[in-house]
Amino acid sequence: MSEHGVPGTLVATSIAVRYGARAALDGVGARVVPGEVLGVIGPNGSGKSTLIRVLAGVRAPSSGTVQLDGRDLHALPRRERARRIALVPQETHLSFPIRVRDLVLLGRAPHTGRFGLERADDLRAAHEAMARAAVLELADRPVDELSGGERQRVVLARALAQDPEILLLDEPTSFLDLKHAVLLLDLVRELCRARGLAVAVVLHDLNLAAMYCDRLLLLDRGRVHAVGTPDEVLTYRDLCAVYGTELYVALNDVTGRLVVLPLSREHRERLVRTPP
Amino acid sequence: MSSHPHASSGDPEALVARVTATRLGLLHGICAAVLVVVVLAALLVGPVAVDPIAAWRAPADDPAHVIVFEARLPRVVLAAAVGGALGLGGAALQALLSNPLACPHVLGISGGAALLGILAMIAATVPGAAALGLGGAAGLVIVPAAAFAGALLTALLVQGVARTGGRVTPHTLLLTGVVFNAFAAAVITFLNTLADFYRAQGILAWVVGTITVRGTAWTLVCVATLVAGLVLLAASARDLNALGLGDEGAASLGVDVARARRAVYVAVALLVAGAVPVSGMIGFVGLIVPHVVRLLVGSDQRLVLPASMWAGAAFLVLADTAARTVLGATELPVGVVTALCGGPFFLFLLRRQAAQALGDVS
Repeated sequence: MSEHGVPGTLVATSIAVRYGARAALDGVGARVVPGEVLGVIGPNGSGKSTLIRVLAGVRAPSSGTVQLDGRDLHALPRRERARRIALVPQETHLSFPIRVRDLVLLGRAPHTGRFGLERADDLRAAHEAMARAAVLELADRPVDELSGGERQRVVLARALAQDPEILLLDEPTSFLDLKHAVLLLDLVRELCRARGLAVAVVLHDLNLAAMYCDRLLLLDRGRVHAVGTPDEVLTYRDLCAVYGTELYVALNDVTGRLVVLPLSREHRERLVRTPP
Repeated sequence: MSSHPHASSGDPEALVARVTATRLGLLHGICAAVLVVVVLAALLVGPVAVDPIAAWRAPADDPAHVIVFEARLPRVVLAAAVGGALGLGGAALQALLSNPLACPHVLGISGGAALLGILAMIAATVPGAAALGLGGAAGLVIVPAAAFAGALLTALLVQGVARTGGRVTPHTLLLTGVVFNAFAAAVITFLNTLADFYRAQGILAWVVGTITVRGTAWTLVCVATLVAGLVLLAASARDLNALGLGDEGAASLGVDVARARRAVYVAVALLVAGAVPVSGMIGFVGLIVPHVVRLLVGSDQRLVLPASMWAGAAFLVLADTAARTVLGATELPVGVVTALCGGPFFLFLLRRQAAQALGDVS
């Protein structure tokens, strides 16, 4: 352990991102640690996606630093950065039709030479990534014919083909049904455990966040409201304050994790009449 | 692959390398062979029927030999070089802008190149230009150089005009390009009228697009810019593939998006600068050819770019052969032939794109 933490630790310090006069992020810090899943949560417009983009190095912060093993991320050569950090976006738009294997092979771009010719180890890495993401049998299918769940697993395979130490995901489950959301996050968690990947994932669903994340970072209007274990962060008081609505927070006695449920107006009013 | 339906279950070799040096070599070889056949066929076609074997064996002053090797061959070779440049440039722009309607002509880049190219050419032909070192052989340098500057400036200008709030909207980009091209054509026509007494002949042919054999040196300049553009774009193919994921997707794969964009524009400007002084503003080649190529080789830019070059060459050789023969002794500008093919094709693409956009919304 050096002063920068375990090798492969991504540390963001005092990040600010301004769009004109509006601050999307203001003084945000975050640590993405190997073998750990960090969940980034918060209401719409709280800066979750912006933070993930800054951590991935595809957006430069207005001020503050992101360091990988003590080296400034934006001073790192782009291709080296792409060999160490992979990003799974919320949605992948493809301007031309492409087959699954070719999309996954694109993940090898930071490893190939100027003319982009793939070598045997590139093919092996892509194959292994497809196997891990359970998309091998889709290899020859056109990507635009896949279902939402299949498509996200393929995009995950593309990210894994980069052979990264750090995996960043921006709301990867927002267009998936329950089964496919759980399948994808099971996979991510397994990779984190088995391969010591450092993972940060933006999640809209607080229950998935409680179940899959080791630590949570709760953002509120561009600032860190709370950071810690799910039990520390998902408190009734903090969540109601940040999300601006009355919520039901309880312990799921099957998982031992917290569950957070929204309440309709009818139920909110009943709650006021008979306080818990 | 198809013979091993279950190979994908465990064998990494099942993931066959789609693009290797050998396969790229093979692609170039096959395409070159097809082009040679097209060129040979074009050499035989013309107002005068010639027996190819007789022409080959005939002495250098024999009419058949002169027709094939001095009249037709230079023109066919030049048409191939120009077509290659336009096909390659179109494929590169379509990939860069993720827009199937893009090509050097539609984006106004050809127009900008022609405009400055013609100014340089007029400058080289005014009385006294020779004394200033502008006449004669210097034109070989200054005309393509001016065309290059015009192409690059237009690309910047059109991008700048189409940019609103940091984003370039594709339709505004194309519209700006088309308008700029019309403007350039008007200015060129105006210059032609003015410059008549300076003996600047054939300028009007620039506006429609005609294969103009100016001599071996000019053809060599065109071939040289084509080779340079091909090398530059082949080295950008990996980045162009990644750009298919959008700017941010490409950036996350380690692509310097701004630099990749500059490289492609410089390459396209080079291609256009070599082609425009010997052909003017030929439209639609760069638009049509990449579509046909993608149907054949898929959408991997490492294959699409070189294949579009060869296919563009073959297409323009055929179009120019039609241009110089269909009306008998009267020649059509080749730009008329490509526009007759390309106009309806453009409308078809536009309709299809609009239908897809509607499908995405609903």
